[in-house]
Amino acid sequence: MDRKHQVQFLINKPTRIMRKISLIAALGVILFAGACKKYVEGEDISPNVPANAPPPLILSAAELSVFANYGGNMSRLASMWAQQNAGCQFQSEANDQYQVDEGDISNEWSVIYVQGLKNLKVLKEKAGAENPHYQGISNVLTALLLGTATDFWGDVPFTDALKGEALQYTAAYDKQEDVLKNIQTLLSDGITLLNSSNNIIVPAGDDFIYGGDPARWIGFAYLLKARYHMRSSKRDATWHTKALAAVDSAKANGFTDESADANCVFGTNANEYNQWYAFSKISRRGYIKANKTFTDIMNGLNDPRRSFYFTKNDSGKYEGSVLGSSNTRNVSEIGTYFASANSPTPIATYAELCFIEAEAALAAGDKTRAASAHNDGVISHLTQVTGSADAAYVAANASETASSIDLNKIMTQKYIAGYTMLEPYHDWRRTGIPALVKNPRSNLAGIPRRLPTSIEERLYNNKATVVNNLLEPVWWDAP
Amino acid sequence: MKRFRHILKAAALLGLLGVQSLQAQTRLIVGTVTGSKDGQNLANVSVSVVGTNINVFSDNEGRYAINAPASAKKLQFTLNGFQQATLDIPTGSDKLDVKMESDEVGLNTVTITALGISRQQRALGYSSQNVSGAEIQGSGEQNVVQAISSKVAGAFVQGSGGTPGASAKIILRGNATFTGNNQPLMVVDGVPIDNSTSQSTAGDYPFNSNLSGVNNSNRGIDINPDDVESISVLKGPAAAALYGVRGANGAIIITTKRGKATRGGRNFSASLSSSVEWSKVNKLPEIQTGYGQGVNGGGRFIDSAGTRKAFAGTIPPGWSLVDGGTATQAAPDAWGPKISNAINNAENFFQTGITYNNNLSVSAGGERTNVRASIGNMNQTGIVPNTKFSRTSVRVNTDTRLTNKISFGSSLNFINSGGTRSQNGSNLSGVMLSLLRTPADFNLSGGQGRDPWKNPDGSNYTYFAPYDNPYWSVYENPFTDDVNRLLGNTYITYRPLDWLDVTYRVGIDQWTDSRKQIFAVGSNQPDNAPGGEISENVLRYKEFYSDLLITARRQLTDDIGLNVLLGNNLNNRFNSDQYLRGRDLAVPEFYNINNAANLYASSSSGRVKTAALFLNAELSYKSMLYLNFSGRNEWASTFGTAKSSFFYPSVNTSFVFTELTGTNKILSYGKVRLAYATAGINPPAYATRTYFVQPSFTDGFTSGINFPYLGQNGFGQSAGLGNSALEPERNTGMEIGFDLRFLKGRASLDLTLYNQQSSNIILSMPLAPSTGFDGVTQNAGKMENRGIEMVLGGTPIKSDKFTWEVNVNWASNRNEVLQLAPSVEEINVEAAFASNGSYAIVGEPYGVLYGTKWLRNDAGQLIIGSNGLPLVDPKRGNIGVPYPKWYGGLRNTFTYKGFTLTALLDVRRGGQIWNGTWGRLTRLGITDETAERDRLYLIEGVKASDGSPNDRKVSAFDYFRTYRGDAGSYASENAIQDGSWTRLRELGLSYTLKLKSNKLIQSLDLGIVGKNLLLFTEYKGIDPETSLTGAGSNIGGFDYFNNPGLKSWIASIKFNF
Repeated sequence: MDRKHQVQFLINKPTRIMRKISLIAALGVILFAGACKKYVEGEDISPNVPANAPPPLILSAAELSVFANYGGNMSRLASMWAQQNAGCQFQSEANDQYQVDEGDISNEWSVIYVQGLKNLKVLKEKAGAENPHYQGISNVLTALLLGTATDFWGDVPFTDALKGEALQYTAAYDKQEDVLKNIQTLLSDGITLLNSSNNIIVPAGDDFIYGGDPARWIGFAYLLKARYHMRSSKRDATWHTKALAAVDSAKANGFTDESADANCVFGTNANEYNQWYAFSKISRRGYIKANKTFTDIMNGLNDPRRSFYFTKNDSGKYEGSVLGSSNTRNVSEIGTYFASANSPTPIATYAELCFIEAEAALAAGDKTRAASAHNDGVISHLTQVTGSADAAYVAANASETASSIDLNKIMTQKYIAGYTMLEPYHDWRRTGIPALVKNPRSNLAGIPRRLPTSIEERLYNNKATVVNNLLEPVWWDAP
Repeated sequence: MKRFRHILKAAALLGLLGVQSLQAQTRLIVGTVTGSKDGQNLANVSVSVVGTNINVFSDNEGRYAINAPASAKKLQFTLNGFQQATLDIPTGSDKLDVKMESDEVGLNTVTITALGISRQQRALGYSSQNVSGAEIQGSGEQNVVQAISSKVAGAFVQGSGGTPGASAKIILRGNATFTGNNQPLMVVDGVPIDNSTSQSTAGDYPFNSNLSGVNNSNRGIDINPDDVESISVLKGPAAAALYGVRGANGAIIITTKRGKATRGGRNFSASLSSSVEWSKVNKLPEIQTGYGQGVNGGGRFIDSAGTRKAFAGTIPPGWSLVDGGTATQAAPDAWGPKISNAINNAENFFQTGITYNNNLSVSAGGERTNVRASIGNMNQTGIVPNTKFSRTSVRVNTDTRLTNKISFGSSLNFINSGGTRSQNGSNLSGVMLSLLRTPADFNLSGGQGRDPWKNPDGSNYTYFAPYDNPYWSVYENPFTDDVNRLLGNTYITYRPLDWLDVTYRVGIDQWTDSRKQIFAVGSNQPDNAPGGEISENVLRYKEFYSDLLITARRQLTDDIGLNVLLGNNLNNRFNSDQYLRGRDLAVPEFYNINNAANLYASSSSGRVKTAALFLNAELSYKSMLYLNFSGRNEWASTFGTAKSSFFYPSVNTSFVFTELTGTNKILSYGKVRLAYATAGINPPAYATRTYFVQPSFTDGFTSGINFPYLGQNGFGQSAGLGNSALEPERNTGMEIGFDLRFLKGRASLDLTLYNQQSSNIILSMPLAPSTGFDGVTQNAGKMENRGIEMVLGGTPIKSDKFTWEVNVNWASNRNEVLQLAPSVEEINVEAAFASNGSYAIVGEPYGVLYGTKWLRNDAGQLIIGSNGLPLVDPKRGNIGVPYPKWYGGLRNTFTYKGFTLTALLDVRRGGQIWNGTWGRLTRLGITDETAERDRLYLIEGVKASDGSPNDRKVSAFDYFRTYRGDAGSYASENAIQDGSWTRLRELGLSYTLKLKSNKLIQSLDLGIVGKNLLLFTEYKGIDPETSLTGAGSNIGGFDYFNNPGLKSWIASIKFNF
């Protein structure tokens, strides 16, 4: 029997009915296939989230990412490593002993890139050239976050970064030297954009930091320019000239007192809490307290800001935990000035501007200007915190002259005024002031000079420059 | 609905066209079926005309009457427990009586397969294992998923804890996908039902809610085990190809009891059963009782009289701290002074849990209609005070044979379930967290307030300020859930031709879960709402399912049969989640959302629609060789623009070789089966686009900040990148199996070897944040499961009075992640803890525990720092595999007259657990290993400085806190422990008393069951059958203050009327 016959045998002579059934079945399949396709159509768009959002909403989201960064874990780590605070318990105790691995900081890295920089890029695109104020703010905040990233991680991606939507899933890291140049460019362009008056929509309440005031943003941008010129002090012999020019411009644009400060602003609802408050008073009580290194410095100066910075210990003193003791007994805690539900956390302050000016002037050889700026910085911050400029303190610490001023005084006062900010840790790496010894309980050979590359970058970006050694300095922290 | 009507019309049309002019000649064949051994009339025998779909059942007297076409040659008689009989229709007579031989070998066991189709097991070309209803009911488990545990080879069942209503997870043959669902489809009476487990999560909650919260139920718990007639477990994609997408991980096919009338020749029967279960905690971590609260970072409070006092917020006058401490806080540790009057807080806390279970069922059968109605009520109180779970189920199943051509029926099941649950896991109000951490010198019920867990001012009486007293947690912070569910389906079958059936079936599964969580004013959880919190969460699920099945059955020749099934299937699933939260409660202890000053709401919903056309064809040769092909084309709503449908085929064959070779004294039956199948999985809903979302920010230490913020809203581009080019995921399985029965059925072996490969796995492929996104939904991975499943059966002793049966099931699965995405070597399965995660790593099994490791030299020795403590490797990695190397069950059953004694031993080897509980308790000086404190400890290893052996000793405090415990520079690998166990899962004694003289009560069943009476394990914690994350998560092997497991006794009585 050949093959054809066999098949015929198998289907047993199709009858008329079977042919009809087959025809109906075939028709049915075609009909049903069309119906099936139709049945599933039109259900692929999420009812839960929008596909688009206008610039004001994106700006608010981007600013919150800045607050999360400046008010959260980054500032806690910086304050512990600058020995202003002490990690006494649990994870903070480990952090204090320089136990910070690639997974511990991945959240911070992600907030900068995924929530911060990416949305600032989206903001700039959505705002378009017709809304230069939004674009300018995007530039300034991009410079701020990129600066934060490079200060802690050294070489970081920028040129190649944020291209996920274009299906580019790896990003080569830019050299820190180039990142710093880029920050200056971003700020210069931002200032130009903010100076433009042709806007269709302008930011207002959606801008938590300055309520949409372009002048404030311009002043802030100049302060950041000064900050990042100063950052290269070990690398760039002419840094002070550039920094002083930026300081002048900041002041010329109204950054003349603490009302121009850029702050993370918080509120009294639980989802708006100041993160120092949320951490040290609500969620992680006892993890972080004052560090004795810092309280000793302030006690030595009889600093009136102590009662605002800290609580008294059981002995009625302002005394922090001894470095490495993990001691929480009889130790001062962070006070209400920085850790209340809605107290602001500083990002950049007038006092900082004054101390940058003082340091730059000193480097430029203009000691008179250095002394005057230093005094301004101390008095301004003292008044801001305590409500008045304590005469005795001013006489002792804010009455410097060309002959008495020195770098140690400037940096020490900047260190005090910079509490809860990231700057004291960066300044210590750059100047070695104040002199710090490493936590004796740590196995690391010194105080960390950077953060390790985030685990996601190591795992998923094969172009990443991976550094795990916490002692490897970043470029501006040249040995 | 319009489209749906369209399809209905088409179906009707198809049916009508088929009918016309098909009034063939028939003859009525009648007869009686009896058993050959005792000559008893056999009821419910399936009588069918070979080569057609014509089928009737014998009545209570064993009589049948069947209309056979004139051309019909043979009748086939089938009844479980008897050998199938195929007899020629006599030419001269219309009478055909049959004597059926009992089937000791189990030659024609019938099993329910996909789409509710019952097939002879001998015809199956793939592995499927049955669990009888009696076994399910005998287990005493109230969750059908848990009841399957250690009864099916290759079914990995993991309960999540001993609290009432806690979920159980089931995985067949290993995990097949990375971030999607890995559990099999659950089907009841041919229609899929939802078996999901979900946590209540606010839209602004930034963490993985599976890590804390309460032990929620998997929705399969709604099925009343008493209604279950049988469960068949279809393990591979071969078995489930006909269910499409959701059957890719296998299927649990539950068949419920239907009406019949067999008992005593009556057309009515009923049963009433009652049981009581007493449960206790079966295992807790061993703790030291020699040292009390305190550490150099804090101490204990005493009042002016020197009496030990708890922290009370503001320290009253006259109180002072012992062993130091700050003004605001006591120490969380038990590194304090020696004590002599230790208090066993855990023993005082846990109570005996009691479960009452009552079931009433009525079954009736007539010539045309069979009905079964049942009502079941189960009420459970837990080992944790103030926890409970209850379930009331009402089910009605009917089947009606209207004419010989039309039959219809339905199943309708209404369920109300829910209870009061307690906090679990990483949670400041977690029951175990504060209960176990409390040092032995602090009495948790020693508060001087209105309740013993309160201070006089009404605040939390707790040894350490940030933790809720566990009594406070259970009494002041209850979580309640209330589920109302309607499950049902209805079918109609029409037979236009003798050999052609058309069945249309519609099923629904609809439930609403109304949940409420209260956190009293003064609770520590959630940590950012000291003013109290109420949240109400309403979850809704709605599934519509329909299928149209056209079945043709032709006998092509005397030996060759053809069976073709053509079907259409529509599925529409909708779920919604509405969450409402109020904080800062005005009137104390008044728990209505109107009492809150701050409100927050979030809402989400999703719909997935699928439609499919499928074909299944089976060719059979005698009763020897079966060949089965299937193909399914499926359309799904979740694709982007790139695709809308996909096709997947399967083929399998079954060869009963003993039909060819004949049987001998030893081998009574032998079959080889071979299957190849592919299944497709559509992408998750809404993954094709990139959306804008309200971002929330947290670093894991605080609850962070989020919108609405200072009166402003905010949206940012989502961190996950959409992908419009998604393809279906593929799951391809191959298996070969042998089914051998020996010595006339006294012994049997069923062996399956399989290899399953998942490819094109859709995963949220992580991206480096520098791309601006943290992940993209992508077809990328490949994963393989290969393994062996073995079922052994034997009856060493069999006599009229005494029988001894042995059953073993054993399985071993090797899983390997073959590929992730280009240049991606490892991904996070689900967000977990900062210190410990669950990962998929290329070359390693799925879901390995991932965390910090000690730094080691090439010889594997620890590298010790100058302080005498080991250094931690800056890179994390695989520290343990949470799935067992092999696992199995051994059941011995002894029957003597009316007595049955059965014991089920459950063995699991391998499967590591991250015992985060142990790590933390050791750090706090609670575990028994920290008891010896008056000496120095040396950690073996080499010095980091020069590689010489370490000689720097450390104090007990440093040793246990930062080396054995999880403080400071600690590696999570220290908390990895072997979760192997051997347990007496079930020990049951039952007695059936036949009351022949009593007309009303036919028989009485009495039973005692012990669950988990013995447990042997090296695991230093609670019962290692535990899961922090429950059945709603892909994470396995996490124990972080999980609620403990149980052992229990059940006494039951059942009246059969």
